[in-house]
Amino acid sequence: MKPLLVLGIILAVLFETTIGPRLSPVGGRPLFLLSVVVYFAWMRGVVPGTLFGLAIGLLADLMSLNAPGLRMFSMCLVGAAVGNITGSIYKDRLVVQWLVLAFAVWLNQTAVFLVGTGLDLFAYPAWFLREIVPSAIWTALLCPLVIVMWEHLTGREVLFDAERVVVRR
Amino acid sequence: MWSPAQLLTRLLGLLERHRNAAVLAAGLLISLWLHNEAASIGPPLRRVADMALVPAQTLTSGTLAILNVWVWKENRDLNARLLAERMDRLALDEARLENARLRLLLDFKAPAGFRTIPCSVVSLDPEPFGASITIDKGTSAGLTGEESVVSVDGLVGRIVEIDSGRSRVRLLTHYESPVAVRVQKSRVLGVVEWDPTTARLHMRNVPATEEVAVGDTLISSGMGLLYPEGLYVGHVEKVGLDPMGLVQDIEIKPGARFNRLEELFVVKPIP
Repeated sequence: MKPLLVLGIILAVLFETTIGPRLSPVGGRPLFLLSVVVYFAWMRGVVPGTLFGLAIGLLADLMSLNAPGLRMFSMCLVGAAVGNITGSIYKDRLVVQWLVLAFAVWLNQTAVFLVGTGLDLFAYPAWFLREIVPSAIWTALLCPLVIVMWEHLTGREVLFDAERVVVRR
Repeated sequence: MWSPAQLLTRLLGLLERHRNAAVLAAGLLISLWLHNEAASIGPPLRRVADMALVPAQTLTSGTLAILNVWVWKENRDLNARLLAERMDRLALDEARLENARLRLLLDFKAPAGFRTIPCSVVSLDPEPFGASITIDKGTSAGLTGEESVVSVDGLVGRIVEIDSGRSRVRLLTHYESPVAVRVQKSRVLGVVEWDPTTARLHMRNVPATEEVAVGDTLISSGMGLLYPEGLYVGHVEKVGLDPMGLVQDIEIKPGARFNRLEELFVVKPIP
């Protein structure tokens, strides 16, 4: 694994467990670890994205008192879903990043809810408004900012489109 | 009929053609298997993860506390509260002395006392289906792993995993964290539980005939032996009847502010 990716995972863990929970007094929180899965799957495709989601999900489960498997399940799904859209949309447009991150949060938190409650669909609308919408907003707003800062600090692009790279060569 | 070798070749060919779906299905099956069958391997795996993460989390949380420019305001408020508490304490000491004299007269056994050990939050996990925090005190501070944790505002949770220098606390906002409580005024007993689907604390098992009013104070009853008696839990926010009309549906506003946990206290019984 590349050192920059390892550093990114460590920073995401620290943000998620120390700064993130203190940011959101009205519910929801930025899901930094999920965004790492999103960006990785987006760049690498379905299979690496699924396996990476599985591994990061296990890490997320170990940081909480969940029975292992809950966030493994949800992040594995997100890795596969986001990996599936690689190549079909422009990655470096901010609006596209917002939409993909918001979609990933919706998929992740919906999977967590459905597995966690044993498919309690009656309570889902309240959960959607209280947990998914704020988390999607936090994640979609903050994570692209972190990516931009990261790119400035490291001098490397995290997201790029293959066509654009070909043109540059 | 296919031979085993042909079957294997066809199976491998099928997997190759549907590689993405096969990897996803395998990943989901492993996750569900772990979730359903292997909860027992969670604590040892978590211990390994904590050994790697806690030093960095302690550093980050410490830096955040230093950078917190609003801390002076909180400090001022806490000092004001401390002064009020000291004045209350004086009155309480008077009452306790009087109580001890009366107990002696009645040959009554006094309940055990408690001491508090201050601790800091190293990391928070507000996961709706498993809210927990890690604190910076463990067995080396004399903890046994069965203590309750409180903030100045009220009961926070209970230690469920412990190591030499850190402990994992299951918060009241964890779906498997029931607290046996008592309404201070009417002495009605019940159980307070977190409902992750509504994100509210509810008091259960209170018959419709019992008297519970909005604003009533709830303290831990000591029943169930998970939490000691007399810790402030919260107050009643809303009272209604469940759809069957047999028991009350009571919503609780917790005393502790779960999204603002920083300086906490471990409550340790004095033997």
